[in-house]
Amino acid sequence: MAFINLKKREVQVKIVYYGPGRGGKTTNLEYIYNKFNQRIQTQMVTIKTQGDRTLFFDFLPFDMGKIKGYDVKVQLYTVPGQVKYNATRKLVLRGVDGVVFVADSMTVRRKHNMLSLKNLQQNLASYKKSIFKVPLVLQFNKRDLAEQGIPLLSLETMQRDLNTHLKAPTFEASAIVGTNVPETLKKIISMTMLSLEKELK
Amino acid sequence: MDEEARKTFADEVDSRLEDLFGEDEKPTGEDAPSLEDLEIAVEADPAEEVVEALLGKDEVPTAQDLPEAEPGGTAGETSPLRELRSMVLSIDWEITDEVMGTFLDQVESLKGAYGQDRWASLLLQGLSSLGRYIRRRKGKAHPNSINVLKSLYGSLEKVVLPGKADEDEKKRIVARELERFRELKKDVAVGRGRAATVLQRPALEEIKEVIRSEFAKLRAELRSMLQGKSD
Ligand SMILES: Nc1nc2c(ncn2[C@@H]2O[C@H](COP(=O)(O)OP(=O)(O)OP(=O)(O)O)[C@@H](O)[C@H]2O)c(=O)[nH]1
Ligand SMILES: [Mg+2]
Repeated sequence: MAFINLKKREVQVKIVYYGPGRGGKTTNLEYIYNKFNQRIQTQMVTIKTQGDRTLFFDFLPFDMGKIKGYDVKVQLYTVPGQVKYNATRKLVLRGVDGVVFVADSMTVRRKHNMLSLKNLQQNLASYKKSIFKVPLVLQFNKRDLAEQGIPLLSLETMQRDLNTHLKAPTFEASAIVGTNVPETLKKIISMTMLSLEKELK
Repeated sequence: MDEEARKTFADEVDSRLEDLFGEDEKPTGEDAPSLEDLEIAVEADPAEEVVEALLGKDEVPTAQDLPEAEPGGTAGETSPLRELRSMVLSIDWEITDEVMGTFLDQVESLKGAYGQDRWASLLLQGLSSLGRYIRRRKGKAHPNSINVLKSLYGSLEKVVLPGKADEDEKKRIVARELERFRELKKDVAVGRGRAATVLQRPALEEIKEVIRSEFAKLRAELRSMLQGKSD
């Protein structure tokens, strides 16, 4: 649940980028930071191992300014995708308001995507949250790799694997180039804000 | 909430998101990547031969053209070089108009002292254009710009302090610096730079605070889980 301070008229919205290891979660945040840090006036914290794997999480906070008289503060997090870090993943999910699931379009990652989505469902359930109810956007990342002749899952396959039941909005993206990275972000924030609207009296 | 009010709320959110993350017209003013500062007057191709061709081998200053050597061959307590070094170190911690202003003054005064030295003056040009860029962008300067600044300063010491480098070495040093400088300029132009974590102190404190409070909550959560409360 978002942290809402009615007295100070302040809302904190927590968005988590989730998905399989090496799928491009950190790259999404880095693109957002590099491209917009002059507008959003913030700093990014990222904790990585030498091989560029997220160790703990990445964290990018920013203010959206006043909406409906409330000061809206958004916090973007990524989880570490590596299977062994499930405890951290679960901790980062605590109090989440919206999720971006970054799926890897590479054919060889098909199973990883499905397992990670399942893992998201379980971890949300441990906080009594339903993956069907939490604001969620799916991003099919690394579409740019097609140009290099790397085998990618078709969009239909990805939809079928991941979105048959969820019916979440989806974006084809390339986090490294930035294609649809801002669109993904805008969509999840706007869905999350709408889901909070009732609380903002 | 009636449909009308709902629409207004959604519109408000969306238009804010557009302000923040929309594809905009060309960035202007404050938002521009501010490349104009990042110039070294000699558009030098850093390759050794090119630097040489640009400067002319026989124009390379000889020892007696150089300004007074520091006593004992090191920067004395009060030398401008010495002061510049401490400025460079403090920029690591604090980028303010004041620090950067003093830094740029120091560079100017060194231009007076070492202006005759071709190698030094190239490095000083680099220091002053990079310094101006950092002064303008402050915490938003490219994360690598401070490193390049430090490296430029280190090379300046090597080049101007007697006995540290011979002519060939100086040439190589300057060529390498120009190359780094050009790389940085390119990175600034395309907004590249993976290490997005240069923190100014206040921001660092703020983030620490958020993380601290987040962890306090997490610890409490863990404790209650361990006590077998939730699943
Ligand atoms: N070609 C291409 N490469 C990408 C894209 N997104 C990310 N990558 C690369 O994939 C690798 C992993 O990206 P990260 O962003 O670190 O992945 P992550 O999901 O944060 O991984 P973990 O932290 O281990 O969970 C990096 O080498 C990225 O450069 C993309 O859209 N296209
Ligand atoms: Mg990561």
